[in-house]
Amino acid sequence: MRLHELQDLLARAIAEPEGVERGALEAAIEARAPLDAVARAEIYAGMYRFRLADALHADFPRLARLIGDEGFFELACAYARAHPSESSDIGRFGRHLPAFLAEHPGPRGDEADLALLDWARTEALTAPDAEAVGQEALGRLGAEAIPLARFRFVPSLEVLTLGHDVLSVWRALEDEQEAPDVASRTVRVAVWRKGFDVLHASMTETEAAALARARAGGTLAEVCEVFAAEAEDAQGAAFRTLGAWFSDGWVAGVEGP
Amino acid sequence: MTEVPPGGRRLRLMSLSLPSLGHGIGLRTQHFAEFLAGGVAVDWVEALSENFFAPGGRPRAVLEKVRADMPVVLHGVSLSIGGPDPLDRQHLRSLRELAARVEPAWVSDHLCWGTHRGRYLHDLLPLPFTEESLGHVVERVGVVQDVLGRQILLENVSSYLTFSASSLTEWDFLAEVARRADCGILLDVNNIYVSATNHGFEARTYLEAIPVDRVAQFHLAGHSDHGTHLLDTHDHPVADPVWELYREAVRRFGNVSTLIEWDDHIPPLARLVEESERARAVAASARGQAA
Repeated sequence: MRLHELQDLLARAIAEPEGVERGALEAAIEARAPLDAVARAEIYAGMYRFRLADALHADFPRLARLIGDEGFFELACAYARAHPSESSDIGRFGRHLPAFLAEHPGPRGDEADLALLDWARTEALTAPDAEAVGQEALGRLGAEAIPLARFRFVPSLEVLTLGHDVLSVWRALEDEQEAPDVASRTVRVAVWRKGFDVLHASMTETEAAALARARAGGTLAEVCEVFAAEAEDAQGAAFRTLGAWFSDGWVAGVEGP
Repeated sequence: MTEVPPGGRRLRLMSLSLPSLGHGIGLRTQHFAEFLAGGVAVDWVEALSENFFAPGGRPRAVLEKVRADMPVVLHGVSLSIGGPDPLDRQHLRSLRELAARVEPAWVSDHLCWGTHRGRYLHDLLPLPFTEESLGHVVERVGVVQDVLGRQILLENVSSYLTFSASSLTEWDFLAEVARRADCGILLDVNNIYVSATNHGFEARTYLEAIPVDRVAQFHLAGHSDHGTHLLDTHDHPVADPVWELYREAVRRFGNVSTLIEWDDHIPPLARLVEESERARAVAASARGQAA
C-alpha cells in the first residue's frame, strides 16, 4: 500500500472505526503478541476520543459539570463525529459545540446557553490585549467635544443573547452546588477580560442597545438617546451605565470629532 | 508570507550548531503564577507552540516574561510533517510570527503525521518507514525550514503499531530524514524506550544508529504500563530504565540540552524542578564515566 492509502486507513480506523474492515487493518499493521493489528489501531482510536473530550472539558468546564463525566464524554464523541477538529490548535475544536447543542438539545434545555457562556469566557481568555481607559479620558477631550465622542472597546468584550438565564446555573456549578432549573427567557450577557480575569454580567435590553449603538460608531450623544426611552431618570441611567463601562474596563479609548 | 517557488531557493544549512541550554522543564499553565513571580530554578523552558498562537491574554504575557528571564524553545505538536494533507500555511504563519516574537533557541516538532483530509486527529501518528515516506517528509521539512528561515528539530514519537510496508528501521529512517533534510533531532529517550518495549527492539541499537552531530535536545518523560503495552502518558516520574537509557544517551551524544516533560497529573513546580535536577545529576555522572 502507498503512504496515503495507509494514512487513509489508519485515520478512518481512529475517527470512524465502525467503517473499517478488520482484514484491511491486518494487512497493513503488524500483529505482535499480545496485541493484534486491530487492537493496536484501537489504542489510537481510544486516545483520539479521550483527547478531544479532554479538550472540550477544559473549554466547557461548567457544562461538563452540569452533564456529568459519562454524559459529557458521549456528547464529545457525538460532537467529534459531526464537527471534526479543523485547526492545528485543539483549543479551537469546541467552537461549534454551542450550535451543536442548540440542534441537539439536552434534557434540561439550557445546555446550549451554558455552552455559549463557557465558550465566550474561553475566547475572552486569549483575546487580543488592550489597555482600558478611565472616565477621565472623556474629560481630556474638552466639554464641547464630549457629546461627539466615539468609543473604542477592548477586543475581549462580547455580548451574548441567551435563551435561558443561565447565570445562576453557572454560579451554582462554579460553587460546586446543584444547578437550579431556570426558565426560558431572553437574556443579554456581557463577557470580557479585565487584566487576566474573565468576567461576565447580565445587561438590560437598554444597555445592550446602547452598547450596540456605541460599537457601531455612534457618538456619546447618540448612545445617550437610547436611554431616553427609560420612563424615569434617563440621564441618570445613561450616566451610571456609561460610568460602569469605564470602571469595568470595557473602554479602550474615546475619540473626539 | 513569502512563498518559496517549486524548485526555488533552499536554505543551505549543512550543519547543526545549537547551544547546550542545560536542564529545563515544560512551561505549563499550572505554573504560570510562579514563572510570573520569577526565580524558577531551571536553565530554560520549552513552550508548546500551539498554546501560544493566540494574540493576547495570560499565556502570551507569561511567555514574554519567561523569555526575558531565560532561553525558550518552541515545541509543536501539530505540524504533521508526514501528513497526507498540504502543509497548513496558517499554522506555519502563526509559528513564524511566534518565533519572531519569542526568538526561541530553536523550534521543534515531531516526525509523524496527524492530519487527514482537513481533519486534525491531534495525535502523533507513526509513519511507515519507506522510501516514499522519506521523500515526502524530506520535501516538507525543506518547505518548513524555508518558511521559518531556520533549521528545525524533529522528535521521534512513541508508537503502538508498525506498518507491514516498512522497509527501514525507525532509527535509520530518523537518521536519514535528518541527513537529507538537513534538520536536527530532538531525541526523546522515553519514546525510544516505550517503542522498543512495544515493538520488541533493542533501545541501545536505536541510540547507536543516530548521528551524534544531529542531536540537539533530549526529552525525558514518564509513561504508563498498560500490561499489553506502554503508553507515553507524561503523567509519571521518569522510569528507572529510561534514566539508564538517558545515561547511555549522554555518554554517546554528550552535553545535550535536556527537558523533563510532564503534561498530565502535573505536580507542583518544585517536584518538576527536582526531576530536572535529577537529570542534571545523572548527566554529570554519565559524562564523568565517559571521560
